[in-house]
Amino acid sequence: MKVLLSCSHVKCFAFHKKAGGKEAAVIGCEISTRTFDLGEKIVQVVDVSGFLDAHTSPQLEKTLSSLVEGGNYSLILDLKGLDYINSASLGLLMGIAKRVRAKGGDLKLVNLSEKINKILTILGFSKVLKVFDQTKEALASFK
Amino acid sequence: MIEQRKEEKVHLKVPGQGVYLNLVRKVIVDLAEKMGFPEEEVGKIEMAVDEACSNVVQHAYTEAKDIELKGGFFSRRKEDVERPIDLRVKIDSEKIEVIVTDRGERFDVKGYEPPDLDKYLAGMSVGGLGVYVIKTFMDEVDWTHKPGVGNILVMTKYLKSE
Repeated sequence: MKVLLSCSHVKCFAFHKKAGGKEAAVIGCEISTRTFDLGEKIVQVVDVSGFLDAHTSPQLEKTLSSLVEGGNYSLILDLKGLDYINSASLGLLMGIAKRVRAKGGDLKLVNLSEKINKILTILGFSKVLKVFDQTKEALASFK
Repeated sequence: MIEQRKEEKVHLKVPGQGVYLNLVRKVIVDLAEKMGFPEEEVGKIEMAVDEACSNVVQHAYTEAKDIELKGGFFSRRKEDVERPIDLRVKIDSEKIEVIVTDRGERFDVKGYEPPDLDKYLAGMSVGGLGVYVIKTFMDEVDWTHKPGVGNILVMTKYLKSE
């Protein structure tokens, strides 16, 4: 049984501009965290949308590092709505996967767009990072 | 699709800050799409240009500089130096050429060794793939260094290179 325990949400603003004399902001990426209790395991699902580049990637690094430091080693990254990812962000995912695997956990990716999937395939990251079509499949793989 | 008989040029100069990378990508993607590049190739051009500009941003605001202190003493400190992202794009009916000028430290292209991707992935290495992406995703890549100007990276992608 999957039980959603809690969720949190952060936004990373990529650009501030003044429109009609008022401050407006364009969101670079949005990161939410959902916690699932699978009975034997607690799985953290991190939803990322927008884009991950040199400006927004540190926010994801902060979120993922904080989860790992808090003893969460079963992670799912839901990339539904992610338009762009740079190589440093892919490197970040490799680094996090390495850390959680060393603790008996894993980092799994779900809901990749065709564009992101192709980048992962061309660069070979899909050989190392486990990719699933849907969150429920990734959750089931942790049981 | 852009119908071109002769070369057209676009010059984009924005502050060397990460917040402007999205704007740079939008301009490049728009140009590449209008030229008729397939979606996958547009994605490769977008990533190569983003990696090149991220490198500029990374070195944009700090530079070792001698600062004069009281009494004629000098101290070597990192100082903020404004360096823009300077992107010159040339397009014609056959290709897109993107020139990125970086006033950072000289990039030794001869000393660059491409990573063994299988070993890189097996070791789950982190970072260091920017140059690899640029060289893999573009058809022609050329780095030169001009004293007083900096590193000049010229990346070319041909429309019918597939």
